[in-house]
Amino acid sequence: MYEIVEQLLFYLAILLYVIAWGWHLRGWQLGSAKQTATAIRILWVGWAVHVFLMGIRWYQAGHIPLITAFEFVVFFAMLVIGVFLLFSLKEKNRMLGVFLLPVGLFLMFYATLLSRDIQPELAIFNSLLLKFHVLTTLLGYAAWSTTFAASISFLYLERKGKSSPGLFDRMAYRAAFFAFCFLTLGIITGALWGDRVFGQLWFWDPKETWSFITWLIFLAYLHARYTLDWKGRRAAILAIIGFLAVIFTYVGVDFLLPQIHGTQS
Amino acid sequence: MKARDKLTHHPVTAAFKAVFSFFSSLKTAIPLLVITIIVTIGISLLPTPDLFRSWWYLGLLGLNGVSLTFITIQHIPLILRKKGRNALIGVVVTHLGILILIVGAIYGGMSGFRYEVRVIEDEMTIVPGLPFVIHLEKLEVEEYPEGTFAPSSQQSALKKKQDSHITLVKNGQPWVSFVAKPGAPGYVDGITVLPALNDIGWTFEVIITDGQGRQKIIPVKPWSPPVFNVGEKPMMVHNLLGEGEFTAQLLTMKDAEVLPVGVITQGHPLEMDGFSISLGDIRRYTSLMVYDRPHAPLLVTGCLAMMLGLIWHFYFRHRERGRKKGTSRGENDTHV
Repeated sequence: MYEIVEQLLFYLAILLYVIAWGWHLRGWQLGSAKQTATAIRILWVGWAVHVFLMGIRWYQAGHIPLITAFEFVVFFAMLVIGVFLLFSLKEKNRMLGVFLLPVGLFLMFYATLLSRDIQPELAIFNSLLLKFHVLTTLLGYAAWSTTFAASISFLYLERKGKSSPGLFDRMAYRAAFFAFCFLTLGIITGALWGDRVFGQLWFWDPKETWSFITWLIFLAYLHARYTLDWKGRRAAILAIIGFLAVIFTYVGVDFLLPQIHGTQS
Repeated sequence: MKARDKLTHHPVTAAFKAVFSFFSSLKTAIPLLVITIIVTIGISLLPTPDLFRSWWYLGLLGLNGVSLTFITIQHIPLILRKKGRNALIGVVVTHLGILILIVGAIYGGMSGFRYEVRVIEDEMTIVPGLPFVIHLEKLEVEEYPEGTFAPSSQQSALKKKQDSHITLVKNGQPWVSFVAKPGAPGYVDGITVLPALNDIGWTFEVIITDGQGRQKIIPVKPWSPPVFNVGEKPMMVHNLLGEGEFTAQLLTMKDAEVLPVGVITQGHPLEMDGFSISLGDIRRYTSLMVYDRPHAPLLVTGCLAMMLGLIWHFYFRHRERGRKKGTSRGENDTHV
């Protein structure tokens, strides 16, 4: 019974996200604020379904759904969309969603390829510190997804010669700051958990190394903006490089480099 | 020449100025950071993560630290003038935190001790250099149900429960007792005792009795399996992993080939060539990591300072922005 409900909610969330994205795209093409507002409303409904899906899974599994690769990816998608909705509360723009929603949708489609089986939580993973590590790291990556989408929006507007792409530049910077803080917290808490379980704070395991590289790129971005006063195009390109590092750390490392890190399944 | 001028023109002062000017330049800092990123990416792709502990990689981190310090010092007046006192506090505290972390990482690479020892249930283990003897009183282990892991999963060695009841003995007297398990190590006098996740198993004895009742006891430790003779036959033994009764398999070697001879369980010896081979005492063993980390306070302080600096910076920047927005509304283009 739960499995059927879960499956329905999962596909319903994808459907609503696709509709919201289509609406968003149309609103952007037509320059219609009304259409964009409708798209955001649909997105809120989709996100509520998504949150409900995670809640049901949590209840059914008896532990926070951050154990299997499926849960990990669906949770990350929830955060990406959630961070976007948070930004959309403040900044009423029509374009960000056009580039950010595909990131969330890509993750949801990727999740359709993964096993939805529920796994029992292993004793070593039953730690508050570990949950905090996963949550803060994913929040960092989700915030950087916003930086990425805002940077793409900026580059697009700049190429088209439109005026005022500055909003996206500022939004990218603000999201980058959050991303840096959360990733820093994620790395610190991950190291502390690793120390309690493996007896070492840092292993130079590929996942750790790549999250450190991503952190250095975030650091370079913030410094380039803060100290060198980089704005606009150059900062946007660095943000896109940072996003590629996030994707490689999050997905690429799992496939390409042997490691001890990762999900339980 | 005045004393002050003398000092200014002193070769050491001039050299320091040159070094300061070199490392406090962003034209040095950015290539250093880029080199660090490229080198880190390069090493991560090699199958030798030990390079991360090499002197030159730690040195590269150290150079980043020097550059970070000098740049922060260099920019203090500028940040103070352009962004104000609160921004300066945030910047200084954050960078100080990163610097402390780098110093901690380098110091950690050069100091402290770390032992990995195997301890057997109800036995005392002496580790040279440690001021105590380790007594593993009991090892409670519970396996996960079969089918929890995929057959080739790296995690199949994990246990549901792995509690090591440990007493440290000092000067012949029990000193401290605690239960340590992966995720919850024991801490004593700045020393950490942590059971390893993947090195846990059984030690046992094989008793060989000849026709006249004479016994020979062979202790078997899986990390150095003995080769012994039963009559003229060279033999080896290992325990068969799995659920249920403890079972040991006897093997012999013939023409460089290993051949199974039979299995023994408690109370069920194997009769062979006039000898009786039985199981003696069976005990669990586990690996323990025993280490001290004198750089831990530096790492914790560095992390805390970095996070505090970031939060401080964010809070005041946000407040500043709010104030500016209040005075110049409509500046932001919110509909794109």
